[in-house]
This record gives sequence, structure tokens and C-alpha cells, in this order.
Amino acid sequence: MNLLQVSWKNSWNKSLSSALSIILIAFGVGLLSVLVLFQNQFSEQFDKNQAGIGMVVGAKGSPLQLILNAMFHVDAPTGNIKIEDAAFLFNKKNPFIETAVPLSVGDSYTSYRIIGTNHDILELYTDQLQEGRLWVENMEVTIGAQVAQELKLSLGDRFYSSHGFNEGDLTHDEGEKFEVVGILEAHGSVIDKLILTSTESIWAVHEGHQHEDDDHQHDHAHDGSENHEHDHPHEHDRDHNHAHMPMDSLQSANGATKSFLDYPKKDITSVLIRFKDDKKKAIPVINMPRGITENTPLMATAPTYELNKLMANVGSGIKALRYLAILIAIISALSIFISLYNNLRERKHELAMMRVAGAKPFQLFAIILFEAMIIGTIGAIIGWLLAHVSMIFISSLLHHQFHYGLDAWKMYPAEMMIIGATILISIFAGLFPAWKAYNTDIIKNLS
Amino acid sequence: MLQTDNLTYQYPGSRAIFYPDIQCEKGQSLLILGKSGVGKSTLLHLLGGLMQPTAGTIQIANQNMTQLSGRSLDQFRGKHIGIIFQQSHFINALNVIENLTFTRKLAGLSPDKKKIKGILDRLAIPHKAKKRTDELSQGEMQRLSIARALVTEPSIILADEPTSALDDDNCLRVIELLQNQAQQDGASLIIVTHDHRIAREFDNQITLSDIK
Repeated sequence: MNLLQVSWKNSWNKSLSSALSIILIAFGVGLLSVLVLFQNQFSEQFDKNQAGIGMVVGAKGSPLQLILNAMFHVDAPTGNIKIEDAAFLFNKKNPFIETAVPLSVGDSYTSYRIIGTNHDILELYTDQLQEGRLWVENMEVTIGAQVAQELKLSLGDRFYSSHGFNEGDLTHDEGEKFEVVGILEAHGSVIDKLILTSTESIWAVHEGHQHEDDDHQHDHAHDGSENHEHDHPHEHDRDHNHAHMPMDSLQSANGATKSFLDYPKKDITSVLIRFKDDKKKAIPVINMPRGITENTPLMATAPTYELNKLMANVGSGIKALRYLAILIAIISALSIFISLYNNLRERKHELAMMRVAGAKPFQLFAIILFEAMIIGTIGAIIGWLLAHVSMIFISSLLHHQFHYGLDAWKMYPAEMMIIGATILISIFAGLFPAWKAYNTDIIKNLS
Repeated sequence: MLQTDNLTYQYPGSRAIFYPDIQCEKGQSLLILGKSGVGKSTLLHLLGGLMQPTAGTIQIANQNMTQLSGRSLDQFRGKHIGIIFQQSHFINALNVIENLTFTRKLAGLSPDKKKIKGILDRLAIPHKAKKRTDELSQGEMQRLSIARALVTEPSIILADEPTSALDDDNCLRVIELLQNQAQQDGASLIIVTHDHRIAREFDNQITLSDIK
């Protein structure tokens, strides 16, 4: 039976007041830890998915929506753009642009987004093939590692796409199916969650809509719409055979090695731009987004600027929560102090008896301080656990909604600092009661 | 054994209390009687090393205790002196056996479960070993107080009014118990009381009012 064991038993002797302190500490630490985990993992995701993209070009609308849709593949697109309007971005002679990647979005397979693009997209994410090959023909897809794993897709598997981004949306179940011809290696970025195919394949799937649905309310990113809501009935789809006729014409066009640029009147959703390394800070590059937005039917935006703005907005909310957590931590320290101080009055006889039995003053000091430390440590550990268990739920929600997962058990140094600081605050809260115990007057308390 | 020489204590603003020289051999018992306010408790506190005398010496186990202070006095008290107070106080969070183990720990002794179990057997409370102290009856608490005083195998056992709250039967039973246990352990037993019911149980007695 050592001092720590005595403190441990004492902590549970007044279990109600100890439990209250522990709950308060756990809540404060939990909140702070969740904020740390959230902030770190989000900024990691942002960093990974920025992929050196210096500018995103799309239809006019919300710049942040454009960024979220084109770079992170969440949210709906701002609309479509004509290839003829965006063709200048793909000019190989442009002195500032290193890579321009076209994106056509709007379809999905069991909520994983199908992106019509070209092979240049892989340059952005420096991705490698795990097996198979890259898409070449129309209706061929190369899928990200997460898509392959979660949908249990392998080479040769075929599927119909769905119109929209959510599971249960209208399926294009007539015409030709997409076929998996390759699986990319896991990269840890957004590309893991994408199904990549040619721009022409997306057009092929949707060509029918343009011909048959000119007057319906079903706004669609591929046919020049502004809106991507899918909450209306799809009565128009009963006579869909959209994949057949256009497919033939596109395939023949593709067979003649035509690129998507040879269809100036057709639409894409957005363009990701990576600037040449030595030109990133050039004045024309810095001014380019504003120039494009002001002088063309397109909107261009710099992701760094928009994401910083987003983080600043989210940051103020996080700051408010952080202050709340710190306030809870202070209240919990007060709770420890009050609990120990009140207990001390009830325990003055037993402390005096310990002194009679040979306890040195510092041993009484240590017993009380250990009690504060035990409560602080247990509260901090429970709070830390709560934060990580909460992350499991948050991660599962995010995964369900956006296919973004968070690593619930990843540790950050800041968490250790929070735990350490909490224990220190608890010890600090126990200092005065411990000092009172140190000065226990034997005669006064036993007379 | 215990021996005092010219023991004096003076409270601030009061006149000094001069105590007679006391001698109590190993295994012997001494009863110190006196009315309230004559300095009985002060004497017990001085003998227990809880207060420092104004003058004089206290010799316990061949050590002049008045020369000790701070940690060495705490350690000496824990190891050589067992004190039984009128009111029993224990560490409520610990059970009976843990209270005794921790008392030995504070005195710098090993847990020695065999020794502890032996004391509980002698005091007829072995079945209470795992009980919390606040679950014990008054009599059991008194026995546990005695057990705690004995558990460090002290040179002297000091008891302050151990019978004042007891009826005649229990009063004599407790005194007999204390005398037997002290004798078995070879400790000197000194009881400070105003309770004259136990006077005939002691051959060695001092009445403080006589010598003040």
C-alpha cells in the first residue's frame, strides 16, 4: 500500500464529486482533441488534394463551390462551360500553363463520381496503376483504389452509371455499360475515390438527354445547366436510349484520334490548371483568374485563396469552440479544487492520524496532489478516447456522404500537449488543498 | 522503555507545567490520572513527540526524543510510539487490513501480512479484515485502534482516555486487552485518564494534580 494507492482509493471514496470532475475534464479534453483531430486531418486532406493546382476554371457561380466540386469532388458543379470558350487554356504554347485537365462530372456509380477527363489528370496526382491499364476507348474506366476496394470491382467488371451523385439516383440502365480496364494504386488523395473515363464517354452517356429533354426541368451539368438538383421525378427517362446513337458517332470520331478539343460546341464542367513552376509567382499568373472571370464567360479562381478564406471562416467557429473547451477545462479545475478542499475538511482527522503514525508532511501533500493528478489523468484519458470514438462516427458520416474518411486513431503531438496540460492544470488545482494537508495540525485536529 | 527527566511545558501566556520524572520499563504499565485541565493530554502529546517540551528530556528506546525534529521525529514516532486516542479515526477509503498495512508503511516497515493477521486474531476481529472502517461498530473500532498502535511493534503505547466512553464491563475488558497486548509485544503501556474506575488495575500510577 503506497501513497499512490491510497490516493487512488481516496479518489473513489467520494466517487460522486470525483465523477463530476472527471466528466467535466473529459468533456473539455474531448472537445479540444476533436478540434485538433478535425483541423489537422482536414488540412492534410486539403494539402494532398491541392496537387499543385493553381487555378480552377468553370462556369460562373460560387468560386468555393467550383473548388469543392472540381478539386475535392464534393458539392454540385456551378454549371458547364463550352469547350470553345475554354480552348485557350489547352494551348500548349501558353507560356504559363504546364497542365490543363478537363473535367466532366455529373454521373456516379453507387455514389462514387465518374469523371470524364484525359490522362493528364494523373500528372496532378502522380498516380500509378495497380493493375490493368488506363482508359482508351469510350466506356472504359480506370478506377481509384478506394472505389475498387469498397465496390469490390475488378478488371472486366461492367456497370451502368447513375445520373447524379447519390445512391438511388436514376440509373442509365439502357445502352452500353462502363467496363473497368484498370485500377490505380492507392494515393491517399481524392483520386482514390474517382472513376475516370474519357470526356467523350460522358458525352456519349448523356447525348440522349440533349436530344430528348430540351424542355424538362432536369438541370444537368453536362448539357449546360446551372443546377444539379435531382429531386424531381424522371418521367422523361422511360424512353431513354441515349447511349446508342451518339456512342456510334463518338466512337468513330475517337477512332480518328480526335481529341475533346475537336468538339468546340460541346460542354465540359471545369478545368484544373497547374502553372509552370517558374511562373507561379508571375504577375500575369496572379492576375489570370480575375482576367478570365472579367473577360470571358468563364469563372476562374485560385484554390489557395478560396481555401484560405474557407479555413478563416471555419477557423473562427473553431476558435469559439476552443475557447469553450478552455472554459470547461477551467471549470473542471475549479471542480477538482472545490472537491479536494471540501474533502480535506472531512478528512482532517485521518490526515492528523497519518501524521501521528509517522507520515511526513510532504507525504500528505503528495497524497492530495496524487488525487488531483488521478482525477485529471482519468478525465484526460476518457476525453481523449471520447474524441477518437467521436472521430469514428464523424468519419463514418463523412465517408457515407462524401467518401472522405478520417483516420480516427491517428495521433497528433497537440493531443499529448492537451493531455499533459490538463494533468498539469489538475495538479495546479490540487496545490492549495495539498499545501493545507502539508500543514495539518495534529494536536488541533485530534484534540 | 520510557524515561523522562525534568519535563516542563509552558503554553504562551500561561505558567509552566512541571511534570514528575516518569519511568516505565519494557512490558510495564503506568496509569497517569488527573482531573481535566491539569495537563494530562499535554503530557501525552509530549511523550508522543507531537509537541516539543519547553525543558527536560524524554528518553525512548535509548533515544533522547527531544533532540529529534522534523522528518527524523516523524520517523521515530511512527516506529517506536503507538498512540490510541479517545476518538478513533481511520482512513475511510481503506479497509481494516489496508489501514494497518499503510500504518506500517508510514513507519518505514514492510507490510508483513502475517504479523497483521496475527494482531487481528489476537484482538478477535480477523473477520473484519476486508471491511471498510466506517462499517465497524464502536467496540470494533476501539480494537482496531489498539491493533494500529501495536502493528508497528512500538517501544511504548500511549492511550488517551481509552475508557471514558465505555460502560464498566467494557471499560475493564479494554484495559485488560491493552495490558495483555502490550505485555505480549514487550511494549511499555502508558494510559492517561481521569477515569478512576481503572485505577485498581494498575500497580504503577501517577496523579498529576499532586505534582503540579
